[in-house]
Amino acid sequence: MSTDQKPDLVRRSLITGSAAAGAGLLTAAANADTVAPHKQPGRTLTDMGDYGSRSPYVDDARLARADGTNLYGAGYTPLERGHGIVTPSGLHYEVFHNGCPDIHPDSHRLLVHGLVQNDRVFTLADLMRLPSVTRFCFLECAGNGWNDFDEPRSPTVQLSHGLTSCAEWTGVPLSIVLNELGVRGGARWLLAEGGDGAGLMRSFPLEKAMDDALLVYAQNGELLRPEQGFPLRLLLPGFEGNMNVKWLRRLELGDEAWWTRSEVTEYADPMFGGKTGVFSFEMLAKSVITRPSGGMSLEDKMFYEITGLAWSGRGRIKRVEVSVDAGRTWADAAIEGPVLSKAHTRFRFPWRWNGKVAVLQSRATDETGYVQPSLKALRQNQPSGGTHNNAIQSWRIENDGSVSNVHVV
Amino acid sequence: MCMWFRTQRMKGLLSVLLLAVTLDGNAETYGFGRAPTGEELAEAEVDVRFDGVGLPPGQGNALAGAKIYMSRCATCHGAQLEGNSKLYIQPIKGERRHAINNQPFAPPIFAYIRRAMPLTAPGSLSNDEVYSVLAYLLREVGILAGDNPVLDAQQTRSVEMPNRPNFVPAKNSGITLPGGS
Repeated sequence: MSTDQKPDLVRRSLITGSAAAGAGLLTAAANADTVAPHKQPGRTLTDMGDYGSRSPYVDDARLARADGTNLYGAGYTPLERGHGIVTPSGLHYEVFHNGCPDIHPDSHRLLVHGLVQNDRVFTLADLMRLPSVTRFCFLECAGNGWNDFDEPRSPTVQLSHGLTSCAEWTGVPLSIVLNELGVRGGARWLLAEGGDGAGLMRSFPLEKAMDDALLVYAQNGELLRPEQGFPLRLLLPGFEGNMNVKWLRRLELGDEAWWTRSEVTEYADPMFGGKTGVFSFEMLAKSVITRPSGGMSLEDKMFYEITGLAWSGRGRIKRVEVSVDAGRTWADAAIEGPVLSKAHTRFRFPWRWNGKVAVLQSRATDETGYVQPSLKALRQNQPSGGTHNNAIQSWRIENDGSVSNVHVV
Repeated sequence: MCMWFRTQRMKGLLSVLLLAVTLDGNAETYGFGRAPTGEELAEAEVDVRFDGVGLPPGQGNALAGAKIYMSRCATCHGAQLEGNSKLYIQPIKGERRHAINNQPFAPPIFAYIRRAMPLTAPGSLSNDEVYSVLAYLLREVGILAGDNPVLDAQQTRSVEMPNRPNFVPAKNSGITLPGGS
């Protein structure tokens, strides 16, 4: 299948992607329109293989950004291509601190120890025998939006917001595992350690462990992918992505937090006056319009559905408002159910473009009443967007229909 | 320890005690898993807490650390701790929050170097080598005095990090600041 035969799926949704055009997707060589039936046999079952693959006409892909070692970096989810609320496992964002380890599930063990009655070592089989829970949950890197706080640098929503994803996760509640061991008095914190070369370590409170933490072995109905922590990862719903330690090999209970390197450097929050905020676990309410978004182009004055995602680390999304005039006026978007706690929530807003300049924004409110801040308000609250940048995003549509990332302050 | 921290700590303790009672009273146990051996525990426990819990025996000095740094670390982190712009690796000395001199406690730096560095051979430095590299780095950023400061567990625990007072609970953390002094 040569690339010039690839159709423009984005064009079909009446929004073209100029970024994609550079990759050869918008060539005019599409087959002629036809409603005629297909008259040849299809691929054989042998050719189809035993694990499904996507159409050769579809090329949605993560975008990798790494340092010169190529072991430290991230893959950004193409949110502008997404539908519904689930991120396909192969497109889920990922962050690596020393590459992706190859771990055999039969030899992998989870050690749980410290302030417990009995230290225990679990096999994967042990953990999979315990009562399980399946839930949807978003994960968002604390640094999502890191590059757009000072200037609107990211050309697309993939780079400005692509460090968030949402999946269905299955695992055993950490509270069940801790009950197996017996938590000792004085235990207040846990340390989670990853089995990758970076040995990522993060502290989290015992209250979270007993609330909704999961030891996850499956994602979207199948065992985890290596990039997502195969064979075992921690899921701390609503907490910053880095704390959801992948390739989990050890949990230790203690009476204090550890103050690991990650906690005091890249995942700490710069504050005014030279202060540094630590242990800011929750990802606060945030939303973004994914279509139309940066790099796309509206073709003509016609109907467009504005759509996007909203989420909150504190629970359910209660309301999403959309503005098409840079925040001067707002109207409620339709929120598509089921609206799940700590999960991506899809919103839709019917709109007819009049061919004039417009600035599109979305603003989320969660069930606690917290309202997503404007960039101006967030900048009054923190000096840096290196972590926890949940500001309202603005997409400017020019007279010619081109869409770009702008700041409204 | 200031009173606010103490109060928060008591609240945390009480809620944990209540939880433990509930669990013991109601929840079923399943008996899966096995006890770790002493060797397994010793091998697995590679963390070091802010207060030095977990620091191993051994010692090192800055002159030895300089040699190790130049042969094992400088390619990425720079001979002057300036990082490597070609590799997009940030300085580990200076204003940025990754810098050694900005960290609030010395012991977790030991844990990080021992567990995660060098990137291409994590865990390959001995405890003595890690103490040496840490002594060198802390000398280079002006936190340890003298030409050849020595570090062992006790001395690492006692290092006063000048930026410690600037670490505060994050605005939305809503939790106790651990390790408060």
